[in-house]
Amino acid sequence: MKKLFNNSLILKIMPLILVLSLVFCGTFAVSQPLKIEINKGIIEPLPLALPSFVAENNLSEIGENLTSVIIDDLYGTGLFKIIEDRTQAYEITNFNKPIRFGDWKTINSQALLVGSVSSNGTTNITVKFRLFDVFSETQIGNGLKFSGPKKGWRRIAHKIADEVYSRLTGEQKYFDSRVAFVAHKGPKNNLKKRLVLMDYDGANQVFLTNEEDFLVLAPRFSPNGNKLLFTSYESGFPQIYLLDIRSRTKIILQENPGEMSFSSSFSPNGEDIVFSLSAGSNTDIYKLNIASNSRSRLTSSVAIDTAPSFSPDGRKVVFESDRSGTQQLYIMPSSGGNAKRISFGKGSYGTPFWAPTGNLIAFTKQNEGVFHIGIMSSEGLEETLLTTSFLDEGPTWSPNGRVIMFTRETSGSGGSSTLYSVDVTGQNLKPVRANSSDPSWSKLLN
Amino acid sequence: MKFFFRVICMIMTALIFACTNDIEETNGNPSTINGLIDFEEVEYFTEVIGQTVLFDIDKADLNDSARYILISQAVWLNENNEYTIFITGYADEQGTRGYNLALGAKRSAAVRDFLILNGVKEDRLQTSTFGKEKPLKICSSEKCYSANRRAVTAIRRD
Repeated sequence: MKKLFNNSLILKIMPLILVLSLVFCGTFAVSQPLKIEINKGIIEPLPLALPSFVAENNLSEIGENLTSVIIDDLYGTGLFKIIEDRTQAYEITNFNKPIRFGDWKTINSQALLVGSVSSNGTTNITVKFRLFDVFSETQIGNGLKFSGPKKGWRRIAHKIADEVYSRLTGEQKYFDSRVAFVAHKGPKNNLKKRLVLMDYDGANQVFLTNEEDFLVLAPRFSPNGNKLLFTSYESGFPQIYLLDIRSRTKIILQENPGEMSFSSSFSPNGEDIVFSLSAGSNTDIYKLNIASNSRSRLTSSVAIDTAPSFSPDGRKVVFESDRSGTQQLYIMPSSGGNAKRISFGKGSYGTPFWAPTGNLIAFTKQNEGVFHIGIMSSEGLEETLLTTSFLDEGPTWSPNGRVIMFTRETSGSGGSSTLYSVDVTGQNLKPVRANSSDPSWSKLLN
Repeated sequence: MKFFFRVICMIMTALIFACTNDIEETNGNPSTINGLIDFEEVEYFTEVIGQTVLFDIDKADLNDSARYILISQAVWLNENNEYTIFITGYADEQGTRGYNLALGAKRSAAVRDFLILNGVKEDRLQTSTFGKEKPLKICSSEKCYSANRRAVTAIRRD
């Protein structure tokens, strides 16, 4: 066990207790509720008016920051057109004052989010919001109130944006989540790599290892978000470590002479991990129960079997193998046994990652000199390629299964790695963080 | 046979340095010419025989030139028993991170197995992989890729 770092400010506010309570009662029967249908592919963004949150008690900076983060979250989905009219006619000065819907209709907003931030003089803030359908002049869902420390204002903003996103799309939430990844520094042939945590949008970065530490690769969140699996060269060989994020203590999970382990991921209940183990010239997939340290072998082909990922129900494991001559995707029971090939397109397939919704598998595809991030059904049907570039790899799913984050590497001696995200529809491709690779997206935070 | 190999190696060394080094005329003893490396020296292993063997795309099979180098490595290692041997396999950047780690492991194992077949004691050998981490050359063309698909034999005196 080793202490890596002192706890940072960020982790001190992790146990942020957000009190969620109803402000306004009543339900709002709307005959045809305002909703974006987001499965059509290209959609027309929904015009959402988002005036600055009403800030009381000298909290105007926090009010602006809250508004800004909510706008970034919602605009970042590609599903909303944010109407930011800051002229006086569209300024909300009193959170409780009735809405003059006519004003908002004239600027063609279909939805309206109003909010306020206040403080009772302590270090805590209270943030309220209400969401309206402008044309039917009704409130969408209940008004809500969040309370928490001032330092946690970003999480409150993400939680409000999640509520708005969820109410207007019918999808599960995903903004209040984190990403573990590997930060790069230096040229390709002498990269320094560090393990880092950040909010899904790149804020609140926390470095978990030092530049002068050993090479680290491929972090993976535990289901409860408290732990990370990763590969480190601390022993001189690639081995899997388990890091407790809060205490910064880490343990090596597998250390046997002549064995190398990597490409690890958790089971849905967090009790087991699956990983690749190289012994001699053969690489197979193994399962390890963390508590008992008991290990079982799941594959025993002479081929390279790697990149295992559990199904959300824990009953199956998808992995890649070159047993057929090229890398392809296979599914087997999580106890091992017969593996069924599910990829049959041109080229080779790797790094499969089962979606949290269970119905899709994301993967890396290499064909005719380029790489793609793609998705297919968990039966291997309906393959859809979402991206194309010199080198895209390693997809990870947002908590709601709507967005995929991955690594894009550019070519040549000056090439570098950047985290990108893309919607599951193939829309809204955008960079998230430069000089980074190997993202692992957490579940929704508690 | 071993004596014959050593003579061949010494001649190779002399030829290499005769070609590559400008030897100044001196009145000294010819055996003290700078650059001539004795078979026993580590530099003989690292510079004359060579530590690196290369692989074809997505392969871990040893080609003829790799086998030639590894036979020479084995002869040297069998003569110099005091060294522990570390073999590390690498891959080019084409391919995913995990697969390339496995491919590097397969390449280092191929070198290890070949050295064992040629008489090197198994307990002296350790293997590792860096996959596509730590490329030797960093252009994105076959010229660099071919240099990066490698296994390197490093030695350390115990």
